[in-house]
Amino acid sequence: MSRIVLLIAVAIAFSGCLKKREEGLVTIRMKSNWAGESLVIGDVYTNNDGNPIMVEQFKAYLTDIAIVDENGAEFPISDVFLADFSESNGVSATVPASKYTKLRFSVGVPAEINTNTDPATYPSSSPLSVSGSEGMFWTWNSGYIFVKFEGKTAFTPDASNLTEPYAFHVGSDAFYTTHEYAIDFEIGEEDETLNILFDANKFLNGTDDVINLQQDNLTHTMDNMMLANRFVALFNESISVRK
Amino acid sequence: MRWGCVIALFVLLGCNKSEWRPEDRTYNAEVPVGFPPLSIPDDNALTDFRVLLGKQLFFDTRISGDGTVSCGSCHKPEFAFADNQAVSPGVEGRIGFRNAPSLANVGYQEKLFMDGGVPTLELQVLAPFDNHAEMDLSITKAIEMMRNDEHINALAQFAYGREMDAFVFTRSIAAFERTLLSGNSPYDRFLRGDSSALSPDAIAGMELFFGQRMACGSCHTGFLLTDQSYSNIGLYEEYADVGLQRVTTLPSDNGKFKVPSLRNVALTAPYMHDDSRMLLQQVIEHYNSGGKNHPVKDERIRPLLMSMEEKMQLLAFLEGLTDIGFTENQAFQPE
Repeated sequence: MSRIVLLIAVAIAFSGCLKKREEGLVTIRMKSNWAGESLVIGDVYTNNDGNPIMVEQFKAYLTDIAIVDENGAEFPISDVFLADFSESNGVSATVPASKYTKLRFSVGVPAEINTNTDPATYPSSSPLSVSGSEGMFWTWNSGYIFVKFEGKTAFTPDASNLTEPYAFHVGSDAFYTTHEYAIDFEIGEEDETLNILFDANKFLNGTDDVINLQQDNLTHTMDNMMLANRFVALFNESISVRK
Repeated sequence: MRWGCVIALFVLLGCNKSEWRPEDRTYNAEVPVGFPPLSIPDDNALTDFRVLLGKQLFFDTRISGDGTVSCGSCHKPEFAFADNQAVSPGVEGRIGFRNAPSLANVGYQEKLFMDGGVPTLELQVLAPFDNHAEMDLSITKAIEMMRNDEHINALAQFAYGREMDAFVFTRSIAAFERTLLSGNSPYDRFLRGDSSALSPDAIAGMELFFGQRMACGSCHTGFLLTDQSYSNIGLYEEYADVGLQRVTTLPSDNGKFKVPSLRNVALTAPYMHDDSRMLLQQVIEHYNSGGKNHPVKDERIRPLLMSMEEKMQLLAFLEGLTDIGFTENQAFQPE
């Protein structure tokens, strides 16, 4: 027993001499852009078709956010985070000092939570609770909305008259997707911040597909599964991660 | 009277709160003869306080955007907790999407809504708040308003041992709804041996209803007079409301709606998911005609070639499903 105490005392004294941190803080920020500039909810941008467009709401559930170190060990950052891009979003966690190589997260809510869930069973502080998920839970076909992207556009270049609504509400277990990004960083002397970027312009304008809002502007997933599929594919393509 | 007793108990228990447990005072649900036991979720056993709180909330109009609409505004006790209006008006008289269904025996429903999109009564409580044409009030605000009501909040403590919150709100309303049991119609009394409970016409109508030729009873079966399946009955060649397909996306579910319980059906006009039939006679005419062509129409819907007398007999039977004791039950009326 006394040997253990002695060893601990030596170890503490030793680490004190080196002043090397054994852990540090990782912050994950979620940001949204419109073609390179920060997306501001309510501001008017120009869509690729030349028409004005405004985003009124952009929210997404990000779950099982974790980082992976060079030995493949995973360190959780957050179980469930509801990113609301009308404000700044971020989540932090203390992790061991190490070299890290990957950021992993999922868009949506895992099936075991999404199926037969009841938001009223979560404490109000949870993003899955009735108040935490307000507007992000389908009450007519029980389940969480994974991504909500909606606003107004115009079918002419006149930016003073945005009256045409669009709304993409996607959910259902089939759209739960896991993303993994290679990114090297070290937690040691310094903390680190990683940014998950969502380029909202690419939600509509991808390399292989373009959503023409004059024709395709509304999906609640089950009522327009084809458009939901297209939106999710574009959305997933739009995500990038950087320091 | 009942309320007065509970207040007295409430005050009494207030003196001795430490001995009180939310599960105390089990509610004695009067399950009708011939009905199976109610299936009650583990976290929402029926107690007097839970049912009482749920009833208070059910009839409280404060929980709507303009303070005029309660659950009971569309689910009216006198119409077996259905509405007599074609698609009920909600806040500011806005017209909803579908007819308000009867809540009689709703505790036995496997899934809620005509397309079965909601799995529990507790979850269903959230739905009208989301809807611009119904409550049109944030559920969070509704709950906060109720929490700020001292009386309601105190009742929540006795019912669930916690402050009014989303859990208490959804559980208590569901608890009250589970007590809405109806099983004492003339048809029930006839089944229990009172041969005079149904008229000879109604008895003939009952035999037609369950007979092979009409086979109404092949879907409208069991103690609820529904097998809780979903069926396309050939109401339209093209459905504006796609029904079950809205939930499953399957074209084979187009125009399918849940087979409703026919208990108290004479009170729940208008009929069909979209209230397109004002009278029961029109419903009978629809089935007699065999309906319109549709690729997924139930094959049991076919021309029945009913005589005038048979139609009258069938109507007499359907009227024999009305449980006046249910609509007049004081326990289910607003205080």
